[in-house]
Amino acid sequence: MSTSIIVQGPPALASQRTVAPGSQLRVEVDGNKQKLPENLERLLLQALADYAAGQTLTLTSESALVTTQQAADFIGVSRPTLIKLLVEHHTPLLTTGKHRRIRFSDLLVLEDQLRDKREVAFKELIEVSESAGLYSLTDDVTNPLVKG
Amino acid sequence: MSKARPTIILDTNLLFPASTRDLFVHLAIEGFFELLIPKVALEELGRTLQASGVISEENATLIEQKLEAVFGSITAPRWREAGSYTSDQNDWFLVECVRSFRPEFLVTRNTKDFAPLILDTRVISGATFLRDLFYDNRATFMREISAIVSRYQNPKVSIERYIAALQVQGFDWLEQEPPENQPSMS
Repeated sequence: MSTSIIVQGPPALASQRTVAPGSQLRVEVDGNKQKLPENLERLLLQALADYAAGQTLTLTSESALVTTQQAADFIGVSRPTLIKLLVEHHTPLLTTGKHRRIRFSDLLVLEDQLRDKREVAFKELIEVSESAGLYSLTDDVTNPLVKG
Repeated sequence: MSKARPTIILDTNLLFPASTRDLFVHLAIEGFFELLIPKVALEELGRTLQASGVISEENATLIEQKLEAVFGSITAPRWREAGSYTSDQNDWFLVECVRSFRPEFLVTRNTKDFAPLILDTRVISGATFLRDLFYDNRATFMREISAIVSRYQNPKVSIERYIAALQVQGFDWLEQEPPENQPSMS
């Protein structure tokens, strides 16, 4: 079976690293044109545009199981830190044979929880700093942490 | 699966002034890099600010606690070879954290106090790290600056004032055009 994905539309912008706005996607499987749902076409075009711009893409089913190392890379923490976070946030850790796996959908939930927690903590940090008058001190001269 | 972002360990001297600290914290929350802050750096921050009279003991403790609540903190075992990589014994903890966590970068104001490379970790200044990270995407950086400024409520801070504060901190490249043909960090 051969599958072709063709982007039709205006020429890419000057850098040749973009998918031009207004492009359409044509998908052929064994020479037969396939009609894609509109939202899927939009999603794929966005993915292609991101890829063309040099971003890393991951296409994963939400029900897929990932290893703890893959999960750590996705969240952006070390593996020991990930395990600690999974325990703290009661994220299910599945065991298949000798291996531990995490459902990708659970990982997305954890990512949202971490982001929310960090946002709240950062907001509180700024509030404390504002009340301490730290935003008026922006000069190196006042920075006791800089060595001469 | 990887989001392909660098990991950095941040030295204490970039946790103050608050404008510089917020820049790194905000960008890490937005996923531009993974931020690791040593527990010793947090303690040093509170202790030094308090001793210098910049803030009260109560506020120093609060800031230390709130900052730790954002990203947690890291600790590392002692390493007798740490002294081979820094001229300052007070910075051994950073070298030890580098050895344990193997980040891509150790970000500090005092690059001259360290070997340029600790194991595989590059020692770099905060301004240079962010210049290289956003060298071909200055618009994204400016968008994030705008987002940081919008977090400030009391007092409100303009983008211009915030950028001026960063320039005082050594971010001279903010007033320059992006250099051409400079190798990307990513």
